[in-house]
Amino acid sequence: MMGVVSQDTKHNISQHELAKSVMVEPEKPNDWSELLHRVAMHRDRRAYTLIFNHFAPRLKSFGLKLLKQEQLAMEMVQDTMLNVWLKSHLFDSSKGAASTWIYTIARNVRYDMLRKASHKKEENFADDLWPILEERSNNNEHHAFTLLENLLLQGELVQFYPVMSECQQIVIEKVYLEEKSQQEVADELQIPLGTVKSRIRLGLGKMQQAMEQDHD
Amino acid sequence: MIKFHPSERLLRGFAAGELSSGINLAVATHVEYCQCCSETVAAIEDELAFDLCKLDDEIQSPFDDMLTSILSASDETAVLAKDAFTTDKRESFVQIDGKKFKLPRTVQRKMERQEGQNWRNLAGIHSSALGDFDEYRASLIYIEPGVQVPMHKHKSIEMTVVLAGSLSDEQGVYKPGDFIVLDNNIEHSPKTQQSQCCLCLTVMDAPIQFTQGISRLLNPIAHLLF
Ligand SMILES: [Zn+2]
Repeated sequence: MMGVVSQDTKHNISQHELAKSVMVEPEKPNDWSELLHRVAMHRDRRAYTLIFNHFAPRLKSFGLKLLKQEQLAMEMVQDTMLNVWLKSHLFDSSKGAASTWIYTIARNVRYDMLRKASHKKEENFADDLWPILEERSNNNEHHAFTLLENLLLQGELVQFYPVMSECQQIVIEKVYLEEKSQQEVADELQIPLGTVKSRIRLGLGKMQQAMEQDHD
Repeated sequence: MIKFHPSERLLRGFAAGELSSGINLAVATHVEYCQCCSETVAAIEDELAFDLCKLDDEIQSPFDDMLTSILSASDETAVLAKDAFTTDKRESFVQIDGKKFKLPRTVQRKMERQEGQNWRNLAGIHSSALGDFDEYRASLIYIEPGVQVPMHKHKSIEMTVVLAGSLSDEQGVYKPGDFIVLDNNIEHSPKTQQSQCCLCLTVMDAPIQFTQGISRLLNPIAHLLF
């Protein structure tokens, strides 16, 4: 129980009811983002309770439609809302609405539950299909270059090498064409691993840009 | 530039998480490569989230206990989970025919779990099964340069996402990221150019049938590809 509540012993109200009584449910989608942000920054229980009160019952209706059983639907709600509580720092309001983020977590949890229930031996996890809760901050960068990297690995981007600075080019040739690990290259050139990574990222970015211009 | 995309119906099913597992894998792989489709999926997810918020919330359930148990989950749990993820840097490459390829995220973990790829080669067409996904089987297919796959037909459906190199058939030239759907009405004989190999992800639900004269003798290829 929170300190605020324990002072008010004569009413003995739950956190749930307390939050309901002191704050009004948000009307605009932006407000959900703001609440989620407060959960991420300050572990704000009151903000989380508002989110929970709004979404938990609706998620249950959502879950029931495909999962059919009450118990499974409740499990889905619990799993989804626990992720919202523990991983709110992964929500990025510049990428979309808070309600969409919560919906996608629920969809993923439901997908994994359905797979599990069907006793299929194959392992096609929701995280592989919809990487909503990837912790890597450079998640997008990491995969944005896959197509480009494949051209590079096949030696098809030679004409674009000059757009990179000399030090980017050296690192990229070592990693992709001489098949050295990033750590090996860092040791060889006596530069930090982080520098190797950023040179790769910047170099690939430049080639990507050059290639796109080439197509226009 | 990616030219061939999944239909909006498929993207909708994907965003709703309601596609069969094998089809999901093919669509997810395309979406990973295609900025345009990934924006479409995000827009559909917004709509679905909006629908979620309109759902009935009158189901009376004892949610208080659930809230209490979630709020008591310690922050340490979160920190631990975070560390476990950040140290896990997956870089998945596949090597075949003296070439090295980077795999899309969607299939990386499946390859890692396999411990050593099991490539089978027949007449310049190599295949490595990723597993069965509901009624579908997913495979990585590598086609050497200058190889023509004999004219064949699909019992029902085949979905292919080009991962690297290029491939062409009667419909056009397919480049990395392109999404190709073939159903049982279409006969085709894809080929690679003399200097260009092709790596793709293929999801299909039944052995293909070769339809022309001598290539019927190539029945083993049908089983190799499936
Ligand atoms: Zn697309």
